[in-house]
Amino acid sequence: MPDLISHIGFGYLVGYRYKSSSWMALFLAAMILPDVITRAVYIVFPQLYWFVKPMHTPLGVILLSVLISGFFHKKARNKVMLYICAGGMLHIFLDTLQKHMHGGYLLLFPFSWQPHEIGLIWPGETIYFTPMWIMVILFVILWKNKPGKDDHQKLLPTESTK
Amino acid sequence: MSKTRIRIGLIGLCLLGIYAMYAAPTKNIATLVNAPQKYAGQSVEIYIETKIDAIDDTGFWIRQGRNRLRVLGPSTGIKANDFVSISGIMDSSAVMHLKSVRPAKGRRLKMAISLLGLGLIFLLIITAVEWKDGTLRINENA
Repeated sequence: MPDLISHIGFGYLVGYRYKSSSWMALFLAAMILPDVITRAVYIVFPQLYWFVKPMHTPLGVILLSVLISGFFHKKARNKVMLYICAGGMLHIFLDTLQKHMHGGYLLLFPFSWQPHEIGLIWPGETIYFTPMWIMVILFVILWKNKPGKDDHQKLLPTESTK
Repeated sequence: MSKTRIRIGLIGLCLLGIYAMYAAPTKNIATLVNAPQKYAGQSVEIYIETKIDAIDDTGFWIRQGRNRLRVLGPSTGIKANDFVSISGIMDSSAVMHLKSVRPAKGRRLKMAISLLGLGLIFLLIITAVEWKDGTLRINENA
């Protein structure tokens, strides 16, 4: 899959206009959730690969969002679930842009074991885009925080300061 | 906290995981080595956390965790400790006759870069979410 920086970068581009940094953080966390929750387990315990792999499928992402939203306050649960679903599904979509010699992504699991992918780029080649993602994020952050019209008005002398 | 959602999520994920463990079509080295007669003559693919363990004149060894498998065939383009995706024909003595092998280039670097991303998200989340009165809440003032 693309590295996590690429996932975060793409997620940031999708949601940069959103004003709440907390909800944005949740969305970005959801962008990396399928990898974090599966790889952290099966790298250490390879025999558990298939037990955790369903969490990297669309149905698994939905169940994860249900599970995680259950820990939140009642008023936020549905919105949390929506954000985690959105981030997780976007993560899976980005992953399908990669191609593999064997395997792929089980988009229809558990109804089908057929792997699917769009297959544009080898997984190892995604790291060449990481500097680009970092620059894009920095550019968007700087552009969002540039001095705007309101800021200029605040800098102008007022009657009381003349 | 919603116990119903937590139960649905946990039970659903566990059921999916158990189903996947027993029904997955992809074989691992432990399965092939423990039942060589069952897979003799079959074409198999191995790609889950698979590394080149050692290379010699006639082939190489691959490893998944503590399990190793002998592969006969050329080792062109691969080196020890490479993560690989491999396919071949199994024989009755749990030896694979190589059809194709592809190293996963850049994987370790990807993992290192990803750790930076993970650290960043961790820092963002601990400021964005707070535990209060027995539930998680989004910190709207962050």
